[in-house]
Amino acid sequence: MLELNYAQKIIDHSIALGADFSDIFVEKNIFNNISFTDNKVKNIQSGTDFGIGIRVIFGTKALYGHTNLTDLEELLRITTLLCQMDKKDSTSDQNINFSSPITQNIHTISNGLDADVPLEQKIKFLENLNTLTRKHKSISQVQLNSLQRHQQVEIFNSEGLHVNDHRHYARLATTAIAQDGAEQATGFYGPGAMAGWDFIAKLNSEEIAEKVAKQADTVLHADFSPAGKLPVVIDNAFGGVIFHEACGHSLETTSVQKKASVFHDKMGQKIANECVSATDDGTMENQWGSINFDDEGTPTQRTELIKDGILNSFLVDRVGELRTGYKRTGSGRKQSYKFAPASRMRNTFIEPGKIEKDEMIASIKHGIYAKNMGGGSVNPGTGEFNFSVAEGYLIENGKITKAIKGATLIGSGSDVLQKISMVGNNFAQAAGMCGSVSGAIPTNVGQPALKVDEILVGGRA
Amino acid sequence: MKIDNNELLNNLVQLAQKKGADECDIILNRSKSLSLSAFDAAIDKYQVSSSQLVGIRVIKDKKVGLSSSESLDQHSVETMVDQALDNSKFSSAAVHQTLENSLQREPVGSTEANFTSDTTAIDDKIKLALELESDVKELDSNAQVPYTAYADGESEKFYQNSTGVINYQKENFFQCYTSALLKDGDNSATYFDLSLANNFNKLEAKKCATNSYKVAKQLLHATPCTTGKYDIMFDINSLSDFFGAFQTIFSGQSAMEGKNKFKDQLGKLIAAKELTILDQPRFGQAFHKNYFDDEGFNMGDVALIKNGMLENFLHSSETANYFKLAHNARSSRGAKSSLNVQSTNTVILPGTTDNVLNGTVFKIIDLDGLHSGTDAISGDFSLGVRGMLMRDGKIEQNVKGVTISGNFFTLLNQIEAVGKQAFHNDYRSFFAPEIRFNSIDVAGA
Repeated sequence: MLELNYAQKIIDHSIALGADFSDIFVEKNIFNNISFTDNKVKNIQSGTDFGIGIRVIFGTKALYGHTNLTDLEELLRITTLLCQMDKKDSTSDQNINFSSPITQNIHTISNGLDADVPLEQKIKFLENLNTLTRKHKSISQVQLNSLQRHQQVEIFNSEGLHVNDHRHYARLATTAIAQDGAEQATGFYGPGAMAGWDFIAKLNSEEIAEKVAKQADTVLHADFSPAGKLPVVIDNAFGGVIFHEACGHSLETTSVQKKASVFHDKMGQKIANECVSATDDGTMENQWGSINFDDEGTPTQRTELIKDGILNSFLVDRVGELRTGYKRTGSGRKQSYKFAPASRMRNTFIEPGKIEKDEMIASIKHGIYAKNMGGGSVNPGTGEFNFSVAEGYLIENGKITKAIKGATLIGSGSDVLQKISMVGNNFAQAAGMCGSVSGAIPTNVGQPALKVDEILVGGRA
Repeated sequence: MKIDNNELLNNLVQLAQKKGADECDIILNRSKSLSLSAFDAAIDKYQVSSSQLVGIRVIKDKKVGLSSSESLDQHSVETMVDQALDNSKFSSAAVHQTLENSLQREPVGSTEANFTSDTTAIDDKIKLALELESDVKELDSNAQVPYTAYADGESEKFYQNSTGVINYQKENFFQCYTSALLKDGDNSATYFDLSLANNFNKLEAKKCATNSYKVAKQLLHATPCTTGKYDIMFDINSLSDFFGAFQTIFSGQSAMEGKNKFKDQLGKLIAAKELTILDQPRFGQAFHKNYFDDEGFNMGDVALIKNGMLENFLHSSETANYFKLAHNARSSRGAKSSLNVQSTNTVILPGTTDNVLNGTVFKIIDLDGLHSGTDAISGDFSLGVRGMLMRDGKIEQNVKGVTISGNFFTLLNQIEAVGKQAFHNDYRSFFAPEIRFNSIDVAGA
């Protein structure tokens, strides 16, 4: 996408100005989104994003610039601007030679946007899902969004690296609104994958319709959650947002390098109950958070974060490696060329254990069963997190009884990791968008069902 | 190659019409930005950008198609027009979406009211970021200051449609923020504060550093209060964030789509009579003055709630046509996004109570989880909060590790008192007095 001699001139220019390292991130992003609501196609959006990001590093200081313009003069101007504060006499008069372009595709893609199916076929799928969801009598509105993206990336760096990568993403977001008089409640399900339309076409529409309609209807007729410190069973798949928010962000060198993480000085120490092992894995075939290379051109990998409760690894990008000394883990990610890369999660999950979910429920006299989680957030500095329960139930005397709504779980990551006492065997993952310093990126969260002995539940007093 | 923006828009409108569009409008955005962050007495991150984005909406046979491109060469923009027309073929009829509307608008509008030219040297900007961090350290050498930054940006928006309307807006901003992180044994606390201005010299960096440290210190040894029902109030930034999470109650779009509980409540009491809320695009103290909406209509004030009664929704041309109501020029559309509605500056009118802090009240100064702990459709909320338990205006306990829960629609009727004095949030987009809500569930110790 960028002429090779342009890339050479930009890299050579940065090194001549004294940069210790520089890289170029070229991106072309094609997207096609269909929005279906009110029983009709509301709109179809498509387009092309294109831009170039240039990063130079002096010591441990990273400087980043981006532009849509591709003329060499503008690219060299940005490079000069980035180097102006720190420029020094260069020890080498480099003439960079790039490797042959490296490509690697560990994911099988069918019907990506470069080999797309006809729009009629996509609309027919959405029409059918809409009809199936509306068959549930309490459902008053259905919103469907199919999102597809083909991101083409080219990366050059001053170490001679030249990488080409193609990333195809597909996601289906289904929202059902249940209504009873003036009261309304929602159900949501949003599976996604590193894949083409084929992934959406193979989803089971009956199951999705049943899932979102039941969730909306359950919340509509639920009682308010009790409040206070209670034992909680958090079910699998999107339940993994607890680990993502409460711990995952604090294991990124983005916060570790500034000592703004409660875990920054805990490497090799016990930070979780010994039944907890956690992994961040970019290699899982066709998963939503998977990649081939990170946005610095480093091949992706599987990173064991916590092993039997002991902190084993952080998530490390290039700047994180420079500032902390920990080796890169292929975790430098960003939303687009408009962001400098930062250490970020991929598919992050708690490994499965051996305990049946029913056994966890049976062990609780009065507590909460969080079947589906909503989103959440964390302050890495203090480790304080919050996340909402999208579909929850009361546990009374070892049995799930009535549905509850309006529950939020709050606490601190370091505390809750110690209070996980049971790890289930029903592992599953779910797709989400993770927002942080380098923008919104696709990530999976995952876990089996977990029992947390005590957590503050925000509900009605 | 230098591209003439007005010529580009004009050519695109003509091209779309030539290719068969009945109506169309084009949005072109250009922007430049600078951001830098300070850490450990050095600049550790520096980012510059320049970007451009053009987007088209075509309406053909009452069907809408959208497309956008970040590349402005002839081939890319022609492809964009073709894509928009192709997309329109598969959309369902949007019979209420049209650029023809009875609302009066000027054919040509241009404003740079939100723009101040900047001649500040880069060294001064760097100095400000470094001083912002060192100001916190001066207050407490043990304080960590992980997130300190300065940013500024400039943007231009060009709009043209097939009815001949042409708008141009240019604006910029200057911003700095910091976040003091304090630790003492197992206790830790952090607080983020920012300053926003339309002129570099008006940034209040020192105040930002002091406030960030002061509040973090106050919260460092805070403890959960006892679980129960409390009268609560929010500081102005928390109130702004909290009301912002439920902004869709004023959306004509969500009412049209059946996702607004108040869709049939126009002219009815939905809140305590002490509550009056206005949407004022050019409110005197506001940081950002709004002149045209994203379909080129001239904006005026809109009363949303008047003495507790729902007066108006915010409308685009489409929602106004749908409800057969007067259009109030709140269309929102980006170069990449579909038509929706927007609010501008929210103004809650002051009330008559001298002191809303009488007796016991829990004052909230920091909120967590707004994007996940609020449900704009049901109105339910459950949020982690920090603040102070106060008795007759004096702090009795600094509080953290608690949640508040309730329903926003019910809360509008739980207003106990509305103060006389108005405050504004950091972004100067939300103006309100202190409001005391009664009997809210707080879960803590």
